Amino acid sequence: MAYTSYVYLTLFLGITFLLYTIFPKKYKWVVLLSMSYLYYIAASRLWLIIFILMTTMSVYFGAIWLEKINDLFQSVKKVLDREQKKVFKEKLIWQKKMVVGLMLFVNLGTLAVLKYYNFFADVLNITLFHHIHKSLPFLKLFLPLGISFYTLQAISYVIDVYRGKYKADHCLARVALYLSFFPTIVEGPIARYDQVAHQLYEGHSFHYENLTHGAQLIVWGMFKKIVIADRANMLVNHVFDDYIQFSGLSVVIAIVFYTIQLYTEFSGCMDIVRGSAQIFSIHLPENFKQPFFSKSINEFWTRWHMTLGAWLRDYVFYSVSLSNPFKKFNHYVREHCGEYFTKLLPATTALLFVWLCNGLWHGASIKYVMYGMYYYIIMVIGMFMEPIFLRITKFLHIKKETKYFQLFQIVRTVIIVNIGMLIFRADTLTAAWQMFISCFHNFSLDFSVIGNLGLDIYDIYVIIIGVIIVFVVGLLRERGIHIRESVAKWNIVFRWAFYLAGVFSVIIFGAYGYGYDLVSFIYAQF
Amino acid sequence: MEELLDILSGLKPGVDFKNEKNLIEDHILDSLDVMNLTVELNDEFDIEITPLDILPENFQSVDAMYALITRLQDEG
Amino acid sequence: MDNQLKKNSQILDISKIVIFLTIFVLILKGLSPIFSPKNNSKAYGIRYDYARGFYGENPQTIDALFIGNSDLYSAMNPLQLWHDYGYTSYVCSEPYQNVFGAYSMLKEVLTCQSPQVIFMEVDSFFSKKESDDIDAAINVALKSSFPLFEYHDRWKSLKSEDFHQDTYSYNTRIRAKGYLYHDNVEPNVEGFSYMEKKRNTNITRISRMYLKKFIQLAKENNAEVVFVWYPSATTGSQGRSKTIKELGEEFNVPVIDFNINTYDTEFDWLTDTRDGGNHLNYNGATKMTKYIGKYIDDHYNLADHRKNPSYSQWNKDYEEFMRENKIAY
Repeated sequence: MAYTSYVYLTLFLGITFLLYTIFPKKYKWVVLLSMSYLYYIAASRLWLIIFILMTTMSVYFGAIWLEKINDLFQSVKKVLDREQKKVFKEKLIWQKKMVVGLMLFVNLGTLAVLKYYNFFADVLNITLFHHIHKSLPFLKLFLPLGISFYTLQAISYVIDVYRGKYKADHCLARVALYLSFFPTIVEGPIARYDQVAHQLYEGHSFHYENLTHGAQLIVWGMFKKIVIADRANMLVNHVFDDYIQFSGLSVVIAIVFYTIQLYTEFSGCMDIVRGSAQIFSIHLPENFKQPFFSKSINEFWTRWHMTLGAWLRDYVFYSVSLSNPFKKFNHYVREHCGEYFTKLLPATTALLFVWLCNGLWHGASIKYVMYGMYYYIIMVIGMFMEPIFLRITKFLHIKKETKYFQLFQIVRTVIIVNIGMLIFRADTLTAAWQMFISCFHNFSLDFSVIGNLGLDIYDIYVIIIGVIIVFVVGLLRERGIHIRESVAKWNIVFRWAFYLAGVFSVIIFGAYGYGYDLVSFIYAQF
Repeated sequence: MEELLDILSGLKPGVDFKNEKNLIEDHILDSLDVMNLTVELNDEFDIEITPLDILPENFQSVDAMYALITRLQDEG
Repeated sequence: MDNQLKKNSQILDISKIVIFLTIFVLILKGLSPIFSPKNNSKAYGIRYDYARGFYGENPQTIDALFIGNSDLYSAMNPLQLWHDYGYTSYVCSEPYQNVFGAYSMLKEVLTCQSPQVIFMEVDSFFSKKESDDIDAAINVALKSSFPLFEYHDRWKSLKSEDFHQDTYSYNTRIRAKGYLYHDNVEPNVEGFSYMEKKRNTNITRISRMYLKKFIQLAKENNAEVVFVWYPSATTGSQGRSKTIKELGEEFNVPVIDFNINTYDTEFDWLTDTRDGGNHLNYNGATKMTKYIGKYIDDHYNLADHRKNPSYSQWNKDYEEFMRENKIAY
């Protein structure tokens, strides 16, 4: 049941909204929870709910267990003297670590087996078992819907309780709803417990603005997904599936179109997701903030798939960089290396873990690991070369604050991101490399080749106009202008004409039905 | 306070730390800077900053950082 | 007082939503005729023109109707049926057609034809997910109520005549009456062994509902329904055949299942398929059609129109078809 399907947009959302509106405030969560599980079963298989149930149960009881340990400390704290307290505290911290370790083992273990077993088996077979003529068998494994997303949410909850950011939740339904909420289950955003759990559980009564704004956000998401992404997809498939036939500008166009496709598809899906939630007066975190206005790769990743970046920062980067072994490493570097390395070596080492996780999270194959490494290496080079860049800009008298220099930075970032997208989309690393090379073969600025890439000229026009619209909306948002709020102030005739034009542009210019195949969301497979 | 300012200007020369009030929001300090800073503060003031303390509001300005350090010293 | 105000504003909000949706539906209704093709030919953008040539036949002249997916247009040749028995028939078969598509197709046919027997190909009955089928059902319902959903992509080829409502002329005939001729052979060496495969035998609730509606609609128009399953190595299995048999008993509909019985057609998987078992070729279609002709002859009272001068076009179509495909006759 894709978020762009008729059954989701009309029947499922409609029924859920009606039930949610008529149920008494105290029991509105029942509607959301049962509809979330219904969605899960309808979109996946019945028996696969045992995995999400297992994760829910484990972190629910795990968090309460952590809280019990904390309470125990609080209750005996007063009767102990300072020395005893220290000993006791250390013992309890050890216990807490074991509980968190168990939670991570259970949940990451499940994810690792279901998603990565075949990949690791493959790697081990090639590297290790190859020499002793043994091999691990490949297994046909089912990947439960949304496991990459709800597992991260579950881990963030249990670690936050461990760190003491908030208390364990004794309401099982609230934890279950937080992990299974139907709009977020397939593609995120990876929300935090303290951001959404209470919003989800408490009942919200009918709210006209939230309903209409939510619906508008859904239409905007549909525009990006159905009109732009699904159309661009046809050109992208045409070239990537048969890339040997193409060279020069054709390949460049295909890569740029894939970047357009992935952005409009993923951010469009997020708009549908956030719009779906807003209908119930629930506000989900943003996942995109005009990423293509970034001036550096670092900035790009704080604006693209933001909730994943934030998750990796909080639970991988800080966990690694503030861990005891890492502190020792830090001291070692400090004592043995100069200031330059002291500043960079620990940071880049911690980042390695972040980008390994980022790559692997996207998929269980070497290609995705390399995708993560690509960004890692670019960032590391950027960090180590910073003094040199500074000297060059000083030497050439380039002022960093000028518009031209900022534009240069943006274009540079966009190019780097496009190459990253090439790695992401190409079937194999070899294919990515060959396509990269073929960009420079027979290159000429003859844009007529665009007609041979599987789309007619009308489709190309629609994509170009669509991208211009997305760009202008992004530019306005960068300037702090929000279309929905501005349009809401218009006179009703213009306002409604605007909304109807939006809906009908999706219906008429959407790439769906006869002649277009249903394209599923790219991110759903992760 | 002086010590803290020294560390900060060692980390990022050329920033007016005395008067900047939005170090995180204005992207003057990114997560890497915060990490390096944390390590130095831990050593210098003999405290233990945990991931929990790494919130934007604790690193937004010198005053906020100083408040964090005093709080952690008291707890220890 | 406050409550009253709140109530009033809620009524205002809800009426705003209702008015907005009404305008939306009205525009859908208004745009649909503009986007609908003005002729049932490919050049005018009709969907699967070969399945919709029945519009071009003289009204109420099609006596037997065949509805189904791609298996059908490869296995049933109406011109052969005409040549052998003088029965008029049409194959309304579209790739990937499902039960919902079949139902809306029957509605289309009944606007200009009144068949007495309807053969329904069962290959597309099986599906896994209820939600996917509900989606397909909504999709078909929307398309038939608002053709804009079907033909929205015609914005690329809109002409001034599309904006005039009186230009409809669905008069294009399709010579082969929906049959698609293929004479290549790619044998299925495994034969009927596919029947032993384990395949999902599930027919979703919404599919059953539409099947019931389909049979009901046929009955109301005095047509009898027959389930037919042509040999299909890619979809058939014992379990599925059993399900179809039970379904036939449940709905009181006769079943012809070429997968469990060859009915002395001398069907041969080595010579009668064009793609290794998914679809039949001309050889296969000839054998199948021969049996279907005999079946109609045995069970129904259809008229032999061969001597009727108003049906002379059918004789010409037959000869043209045979000449065009260089078949000796």
